[in-house]
Amino acid sequence: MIEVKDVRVLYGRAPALQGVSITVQEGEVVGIVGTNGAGKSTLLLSILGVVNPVQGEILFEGTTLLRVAPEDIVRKGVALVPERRHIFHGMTVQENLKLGGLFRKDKAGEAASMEYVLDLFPKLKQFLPNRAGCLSGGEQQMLALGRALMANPRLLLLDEPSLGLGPLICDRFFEDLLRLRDGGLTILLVEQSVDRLLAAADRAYVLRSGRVALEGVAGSLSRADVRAAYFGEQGAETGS
Amino acid sequence: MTTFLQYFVDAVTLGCLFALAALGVGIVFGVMRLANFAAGEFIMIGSYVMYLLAFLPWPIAWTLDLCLVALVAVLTERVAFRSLRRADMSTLLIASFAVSIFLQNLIVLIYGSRARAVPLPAFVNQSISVFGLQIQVVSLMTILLTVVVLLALVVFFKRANLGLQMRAAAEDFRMAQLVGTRANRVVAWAFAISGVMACFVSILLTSRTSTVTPTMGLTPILYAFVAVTIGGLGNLVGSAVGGFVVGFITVAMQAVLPPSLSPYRDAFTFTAVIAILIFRPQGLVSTVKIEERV
Repeated sequence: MIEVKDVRVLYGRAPALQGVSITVQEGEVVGIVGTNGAGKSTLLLSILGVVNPVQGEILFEGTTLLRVAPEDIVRKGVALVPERRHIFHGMTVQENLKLGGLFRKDKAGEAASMEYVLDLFPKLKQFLPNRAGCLSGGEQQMLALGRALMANPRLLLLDEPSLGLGPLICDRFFEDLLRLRDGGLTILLVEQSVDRLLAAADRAYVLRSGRVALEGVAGSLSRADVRAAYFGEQGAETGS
Repeated sequence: MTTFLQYFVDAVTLGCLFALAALGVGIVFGVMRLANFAAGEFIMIGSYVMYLLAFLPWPIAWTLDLCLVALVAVLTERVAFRSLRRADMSTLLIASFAVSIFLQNLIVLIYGSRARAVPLPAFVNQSISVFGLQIQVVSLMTILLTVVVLLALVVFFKRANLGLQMRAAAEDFRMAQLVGTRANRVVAWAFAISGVMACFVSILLTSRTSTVTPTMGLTPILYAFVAVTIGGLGNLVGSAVGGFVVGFITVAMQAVLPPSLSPYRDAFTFTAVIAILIFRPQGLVSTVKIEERV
């Protein structure tokens, strides 16, 4: 479904991604794990056209996403649940959800998505007329995910969804993700928590210093291997 | 009592005028974080278009005026500001001064710098008597138009898809793009609305003064920015409230200052504005910081 080939991204002169290649097949959950600064968010932002790679290619369903505006990439079927949620605090929950699907031409489909999101997160139903900024962290995460689903995406990008959430709320959120996966949604998940990521993903990539340090089927990757790739050999020794 | 009411009507009228101007600049500031001083020139151009189209029946002339000024506003965005959208605020501010100076000098080049008389429809200068108060038709026009515009904007921002997208862009421009909002469309519409607001101001202002000069946009736009600042930057309700507050302070100063000090009215007005900002640096209607429930 999406192919990232040998992508290199620079922030000024500092390399953020150095020849990263990943693939995500339709219906898969692919996890990206790595320390802060490893390039995980940059990879997602490159797919979404927010940052422009200086080298490489990004293909979504066979067509390039390079030099395509972010809003057009979203319209092609790629949606993002960003790090720290970025919901529109001053707008109501209903307005936030509506915004997620506002570009859609099929109004019946938009209404069906709203129904689907409210079935998935019934808690949001009672807060529809409330300001989104008044929601708890967990509810805001539901809203961010619901807003992304309103776009009826074929590929969902999630950037550290567990950040700032308590363990119980986080467990619930990952259960919701698994339900989405079971429904056939393709997911690219960036996460710092190795255990959560390996439990949720079909395949995983470990990024370190802007390069792919390890990749494989999630079930076959041991925590020790991932830790070694995550921190580097020396870090793994001190970390274990 | 009659004198007080007369001053009150004057204050509401002036407040309405400032509120319209402030809404125009506030909308663009909200979406783009651009303090667009060229909006003063939109007002000036609106008045010159009135002057040029005075031979037409006023409803046609004023409608064309609104369309043309909106078009000029959109063109300035396309030509001068679009390529600078990711620039910092100071760069945008300097660009807006450049656009302002360019437009002003273009008009000077074409029409010269002296004031020109604008023929107006006869009803504009008439007055009507209400409970002993003499109210000019132009004052009624100002109040009525402002009420209609404010209501229309409330409906637009609450109900229209474009209004929702503009609010989203004002809150988090990048995220608005990432939910599919077309950035160019939203910014262009913000400029178009800003142009329409400026044109309303120019029609109302010119209906009072009957003259047009290349520098006429400067004073209303300065007051508009003062209104936006004391109302609360980036908050449209604040912009409107700020406009009314500045209008009321200006008329109050005019009423209470002795004749020897009245030439310094603006200095006293701005002193009052500074006092407000000392006590409410975030503005009168600051954006509410919403706390997460835990």
